[in-house]
Amino acid sequence: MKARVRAAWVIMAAVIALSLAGHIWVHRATERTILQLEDLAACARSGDYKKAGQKALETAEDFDKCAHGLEMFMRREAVAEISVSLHGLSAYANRESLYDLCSEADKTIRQLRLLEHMYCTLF
Amino acid sequence: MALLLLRTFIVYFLIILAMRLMGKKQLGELQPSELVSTILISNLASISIESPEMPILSSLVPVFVIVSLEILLSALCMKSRRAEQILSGSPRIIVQNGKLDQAQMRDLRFTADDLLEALRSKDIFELSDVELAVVETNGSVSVKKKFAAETPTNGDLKLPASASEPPSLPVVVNGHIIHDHLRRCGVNEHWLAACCKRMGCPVTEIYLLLCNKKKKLTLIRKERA
Repeated sequence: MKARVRAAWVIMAAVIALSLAGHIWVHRATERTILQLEDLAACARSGDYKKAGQKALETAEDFDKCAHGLEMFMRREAVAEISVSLHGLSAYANRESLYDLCSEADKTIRQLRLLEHMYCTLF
Repeated sequence: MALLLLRTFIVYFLIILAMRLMGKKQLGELQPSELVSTILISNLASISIESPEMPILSSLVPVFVIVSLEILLSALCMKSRRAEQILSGSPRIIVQNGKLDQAQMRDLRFTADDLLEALRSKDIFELSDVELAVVETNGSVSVKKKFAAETPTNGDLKLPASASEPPSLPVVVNGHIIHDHLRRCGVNEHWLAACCKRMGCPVTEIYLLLCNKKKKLTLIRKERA
């Protein structure tokens, strides 16, 4: 019985550690991507479309790097949806599509906030 | 498909590990908390098998949380009588001296048919034969018969102890020797080999060989397919 109780405490500690790690991982990944998106939208508004396009590609690549980690904790389709949205942003990095770029960036930010909300809120 | 197969393997073996951790009690009659965890585990285990879009952790984490809670609550129940009563309830007497306690039965939602069925399963067909019947916390009914209805024991009949046969243990199953049982019967492999030679049946040809402390053997040979 003592060995089982010890194993139960170890499992409980491991599960709590995993949940906390997941919490931190999801929070960091979403916050970093949101900051990058806000940055690229600011670049586009200031007229630096080339930099905005570059930042859009960087953001998508960075997100893809942490997507596998996120998929351990989140629904895969939710993560894939955001990745698809991020990869489409660079196409709007020009004067004619400024409104679309900002609106797509806002939409992706909302998706990211929802992703974090889905993982981190109790009810 | 390969992913689904792999996920099923992982979930299957981890659930076996979880059930082993919870112990044998989980496989027999269940206490309320054990029943809840068993139902939850079976449902949670199917999530990651049925839904490939869900991360495997979404079913494994809750399964292992339930397993650890189950073990920790069992440990708590062993230390605290109050916790045990809250989690598992307490046994209730429904028949005393052949008299039904209808209030208790109503409280337990236990019908007369339920009681008679439980008694019949214990080979009791007359309520008047029952001195005491208790509904245990796992829902089973324990019965103490009246003295007049009790089956006499060997002790009552004053039979000599030498008349009893010690229990037999399987020492060879399907050609495999069970060394622990050999030791318990007070014999060794050399003795077994000699017996096999005498019976004209090598160990590999044995389907089942039972032995007791009096070294009485019962042999069942493997049938040719």
